[in-house]
This record gives sequence, structure tokens and C-alpha cells, in this order.
Amino acid sequence: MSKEISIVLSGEAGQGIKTVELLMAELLKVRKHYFFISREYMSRVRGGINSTQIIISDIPVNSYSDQTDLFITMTNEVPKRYSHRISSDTVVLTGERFIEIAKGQGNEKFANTAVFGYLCAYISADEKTGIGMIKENFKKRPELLEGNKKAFIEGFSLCDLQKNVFAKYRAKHHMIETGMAVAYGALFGGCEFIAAYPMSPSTTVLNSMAELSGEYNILVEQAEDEIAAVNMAIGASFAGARAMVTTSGGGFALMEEGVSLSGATETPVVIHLGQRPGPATGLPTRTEQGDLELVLYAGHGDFQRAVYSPGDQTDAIGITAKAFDTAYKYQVPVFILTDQYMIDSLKPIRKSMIQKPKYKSYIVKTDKDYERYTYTKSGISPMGIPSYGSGVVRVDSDEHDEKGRITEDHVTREKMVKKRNKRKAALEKDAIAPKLIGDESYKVLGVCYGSNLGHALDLAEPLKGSGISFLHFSQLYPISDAAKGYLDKASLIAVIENNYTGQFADMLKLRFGVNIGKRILKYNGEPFSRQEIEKALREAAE
Amino acid sequence: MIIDGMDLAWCPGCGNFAIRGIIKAVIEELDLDKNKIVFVSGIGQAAKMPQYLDYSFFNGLHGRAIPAALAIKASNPGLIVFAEGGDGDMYGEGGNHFIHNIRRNPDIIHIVHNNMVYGLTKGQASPTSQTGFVTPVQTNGVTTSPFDPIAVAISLGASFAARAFAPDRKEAVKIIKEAVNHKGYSLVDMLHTCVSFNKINTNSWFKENTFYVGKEHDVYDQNAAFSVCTNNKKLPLGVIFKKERKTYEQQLDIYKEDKRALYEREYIGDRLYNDIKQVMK
Repeated sequence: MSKEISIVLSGEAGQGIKTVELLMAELLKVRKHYFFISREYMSRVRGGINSTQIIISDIPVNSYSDQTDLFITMTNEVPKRYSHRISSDTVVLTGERFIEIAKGQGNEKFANTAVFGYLCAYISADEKTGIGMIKENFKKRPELLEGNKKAFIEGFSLCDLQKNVFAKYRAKHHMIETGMAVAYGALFGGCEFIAAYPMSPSTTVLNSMAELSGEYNILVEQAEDEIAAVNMAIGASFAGARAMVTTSGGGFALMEEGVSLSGATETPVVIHLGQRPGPATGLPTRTEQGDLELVLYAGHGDFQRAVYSPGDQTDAIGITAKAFDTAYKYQVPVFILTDQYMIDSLKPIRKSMIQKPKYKSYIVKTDKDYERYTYTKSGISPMGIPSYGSGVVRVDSDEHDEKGRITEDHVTREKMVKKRNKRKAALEKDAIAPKLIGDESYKVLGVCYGSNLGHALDLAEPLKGSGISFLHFSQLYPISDAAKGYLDKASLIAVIENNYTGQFADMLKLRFGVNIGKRILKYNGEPFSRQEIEKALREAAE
Repeated sequence: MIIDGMDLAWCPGCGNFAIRGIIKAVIEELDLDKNKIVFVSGIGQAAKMPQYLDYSFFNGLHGRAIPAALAIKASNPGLIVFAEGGDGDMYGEGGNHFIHNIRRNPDIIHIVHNNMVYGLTKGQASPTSQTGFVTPVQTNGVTTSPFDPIAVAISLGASFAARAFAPDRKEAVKIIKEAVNHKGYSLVDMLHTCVSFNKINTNSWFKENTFYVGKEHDVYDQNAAFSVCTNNKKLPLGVIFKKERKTYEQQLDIYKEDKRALYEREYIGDRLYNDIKQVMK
């Protein structure tokens, strides 16, 4: 059995929890420990109660756990909302002692540094390494260094609970936040243009693209609203740029007409949707997987699309790059679904996990006889763009003929509908097969997608020999034919989703006619804990 | 009506025919590179204009021509981008984009057909309908005050705001030519008639209710330009306001050193991949 410890830090926004978390992540990286961090926070700028969980393990760890070994809160007592994360085995430390240390150094704000000192000792890191990191952290504010250093040392010596249980890994590890992973994937996919209106939790992608824009020449535009954003992206795409938007459910609701526009005009666009619980404003900073049906059915009329759901940061890089290739190859809108839980979690990544990108341009040089919607066997017409070649590029959201001229001719209409939908077969063939995680033979198959990949990875070992395996989907539409074989082998299919109805379960039923034996659902705004899923699957297996 | 081999969807006598002639004349007389011209439009009878010209076009969604036009120009600054549509399309459905585009100042020509009524939906009030205008929906007459696009544009510091009257072809051609030559966002509010649904704002009404700003009018004086709009019962015609501003594209980092359009640039994914690997070493 692997060993792991779970530390939860909580405090008000502005109390420096995030700083401790980042210092800890850096420390764990330097010390070559496996870790998994996930954050939850309230929808406000200052105050409220936020927390971050840091799980440290001697094997790779990928998911949220409801067990807590050490709970440190900067407040005077444990906030009520966390009572379910504390058991009789949890060591609880409240804020007073850290604040006292900080006050002793003349600034209450040093309390988080004292906590970091405590944690350094707790994981048996040496004092020197920790002090080095404090020095680095206050490089630009030397006047604060001395006090923080002392607070660190006092925090360090406060701890008498050293845990030294971790084997270390060999290879060097790195950290990539989900937003940056999507941005890397976008650039791997050739993205040159992003337009967006900020909305939690999707804004991290916009910020990451902006961070990369100077070095890699990306046009980043903050639009006046989501409607503008999606129409900008489609306009850019028409002009020959690879373009995307990033939004969340509510913002995407405004973009729906753009999805239809992309479908009608066969102009590619990539839409990243960081999910949070709806309806309407819902829980702005919490997690859910409730927007699958929204993106699946968004946009009036019949046309094709693809929907992806990467499982973690590494997956997000590859999948986002693939999403761009799919959008431009098939000239359809393509969706990438992530969620707040995935966006606000972090784990180490090895260099070898990042695949070299493959890129192909699908733009053609036009001649004077060019017709944008010329009929082809596949239904996909070569994509010309204005002023590249001598042709005229006519694109219209009205029904049109091969030239792009408006028509109300019934025969042409029928041909164009068929043309737009013909590509379904190729899109299906190109769909990413789901991955089996766990034993090859199983009775119960736990089906999951997106961010629940981590739970499957972490539960595969404890569930070995139990007859329970997992099937993870990184693509949700079209669903790969390869799924059928896995589903047919199961005596019970249990679909795990962060939503109320089981949206993907319904899709599987529709697609393959399979019986969904159990729906494991959670929709209170929190991610699943590993233990919850294990319990539900074991019950299903009984 | 079949013209140049195309079935034009406009009513006989529609003011759009004159505007089509004006645009063709501008492009011919300025000898613009036809290969570089892109028309971007929304939905409505005016927005069908690109269909009846022979240049590349993106005829997108109602109210959304401006965001698409901005992105097209930004992705390929070498293009000559016209955004064209009606008063409902550009000032109603697309009102938010109109405002923020003036702030951005892309080098595009924005032609808005303003006949003070909705045509394609059959006769309802438009944002520019005059108060009291009776329609099948506003049965007791319009109670809202008309939207003044020129005053709005001036108040936002638009780099070029003009109004033309389509039947006065000579002046209209002159005004649009100036708009095309102007570096930056150029609004041309193009007054014309709707012969089917607007029996009030007819050619003679326009003649009585408009006036050309004279030679003494200082187009660079924001307050004077604003007063011309607000202190007159009649609608001013001509170039009303100009302001020298940097364009949106000029301020984009991506064009500081490299002037090429985005589609002409090399793929950067491999460079990023190598950079990531380097950092991870």
C-alpha cells in the first residue's frame, strides 16, 4: 500500500493561503515528492473562507480525498463548512498560534510564513531549504525578509509531528496549471487568436494565452461580451487564423448563435468551456459537469461538432491540440470541456508526458474559379480565405449554393444539409477511444470522463481484484465505436458524473442501447472524493 | 429583380439599389485592389449587399458584423474591410458592438443603411424611427426617442463620423471615398428610403429635414460637431467629425515587427514545444 498524507489549509481570501500552497508545491517539486493540490474558494475578492488540499504520496496521486491528516485554519476555529473533512484522526491547528508568532515579528501578515515553516518541519524538509525559499520569495521586498524568516523558523520549531514517509521519484518534475496546459495545447494546435469575456473558472485560459502572447505572437482580445467573442473568433478563422474562445456555461449560453454560425458557414472555431454549477449564475467558483448536454445540443439546425473532455493537465495539452486539428480538418465547432475542480488542481508533470505536436494546415490557395462550398465526397470543401490566391471567398449564414450565393432552392438546400452532415462518419472514425483503467477483466465498469480521470487512476490499485475497473473518455462526442466492446463486457455499467441527471449516461444509452446499472452523481458544487467513488462502486459490485 | 445575372431580393424602388451603385463607384474610382476587399454584414435587406457585389464576403449573424469585421481586419490588416448593414442590425441588435468598436478604432469602413424602419420583418420601428412613427407594433406611434448614431460616435471620440443621403449620389460617393481613405474606424450613416414600409421618411421628407454641414464646419472640433447633431432639428449631412487616433491594428503587439497576416506566419507550436522541453531540462 502506498502512503500519503493529506494537509488542508484554510483561511480567508487575503490571508496568504495561496502563497503557502505555491511555496509547498515548489518545495515538494524540489524534494521530488508526488503530490496533488486542489483548491476551493468562495465567490468574492476578499474575505470568505477558502481552502486548499495538499496530498503528498510516495506514488503518483491524482485526486481529491476526503481524509485529512492535518487541518490548519488561519481562523480561530474550524469553519463549519469543513466539518465533514475532519475525523478523530485529524490534527487540527487553528490560527491563533501562527498569528501570535507573526505578531511577535511585528506583522500579522507573516502568519502564513509561520504555517509554511510548520509544514516544512511536518514533511521533514530541512530548515535550510525552507529558508532559501523564503529568501527567494521576498527577493523583491527585502524589508519583509527578516520578519518572515524569523516567523518561518518559529513555525518550523513549533512542529513536533514530523512525517517522513515518502519515497521519492527519480525524474525531475514540473508543474503546469490547467489554464496554461490548455494554452499550450492551443498553441500546439496552431492557435493565433483568442477572444473572450472573463468568467470564472475559464479566465485562466485567457490569462495564460495573454502571458504567452508576446513570445508566441497571439492576438488576445477581451471582447465586450461573449457574443462578440465568438463572432470575433469565427471572423478570425474566416480570415485564415486559428481561433478560439474561452468561457463558462453562462457565457457560452450567449455564444450559442456562434455555434450555429460556425456550423452553417463551415468556419472552424474551438470553444473551451470551464464548467461550473448552473443554472444561471449558480455557484461561480464551484465545480460541476453539467454542461455536456448544453454543448451537445447548442445551436439551432443540424450540423456536426466534436466534444472533448481532457482528464488532467497533460491530457489537456494533447486534447486541445487535437481539438484544433479536428475543428480545421472538419470545419466544425469543437468543444473542450474542463471544470473548476480540474482548473484549480495541480500535480507534477514529467517532461516525457508532453508529446511533440503534429500540425497540418488545411487552408488552400484559391484560383479565380474558387467556390467555397464545392461539393466533395467527404462533404468538406477546401477552405480558401480572402486574398490568398485569386478567388472570391463567399461565406454566408443564409442557406447558400456552392459559390456561397444565397439560395432558397429546395434541391440545393437538401444537398447542403447532406454536405454539412456527411462528415459525421469521418468524425466518428477519428474519435478518441476510451481508456480502460484497472484490470482487463471486470464485472463492474466505472465509466467517467474529464476531471474524474484522477479518481480512476488512484482507485485502480486499491480496487485490483475486486472486479471493478474504469473506462475514461477524453472525447464525449462523437463517442468512439471502441467503447462498445468495453461496455458489452461489463455486467454492470456505473457512470460517474458531477451532475444531477447523468448526462453522459444518457448519451451512452442513446448511442449503444446499453443499460446503465448505476449512476454515481454529485452536484453539490464539490468534486467527488476518491472514497465516495470507491464506496459507491463497491456497493454496486455487491 | 434580376441585375447582372443575380436575383436581387430588394423591392423595386428600394434605396439599396442606389447605395449599391455608390459603393461600386467608390471602389472603381479609388481603384481599390479587389482581391483585398472583404465585405462583412449581418442580417436584413441592407446586409444582403455583399451578395450583390463581386468581392469576398462574410455574411454572418444579425447585429454581429462588427466583431467579425474587427477580427478579419486584425487577422489580416492588408485587407480592405467594409462592414455593412441596416439601422436595426447595426444600432439595435449590434448596439453594444457599435459602441466598443468605436473605442477600439479598427481601420474599417462601416456603412449603415438608415431608413428608419425595419424592412425584412415588415415595418416595425427601428432604433432610428422618429417619435410618433406608427407601425403594426407601435400602433399608437413610437414613444422612444430616435437613436443618433453620429452624436454617439462623436461622444465616444470616433475617428470618423459622417452621414450621407443615398439619392445624392455625388456627395455620397465623395463621403464614402473619404471614409475609405481615412485611417481608422469610419462610420457612414447612410440615409435612404424604404418604399414599402416607411411612407413618412420619404425622399422629400429627407430633403426637407437634412442639411449639409458647410465648409466653415470644423470636423476636428468635438464640441462643435456634437452641437451640429443636437442643436438642429434637421439631420446634418457630410463629414461631421474626425479625430486622429491610432488604429486597433497599429497598437497590436503582433504587428510591431512582423507585418504579415496571421495566416502567412509560420507554425509556432514546435518552437513552444522546444522551449517547454528546455525549461524542463
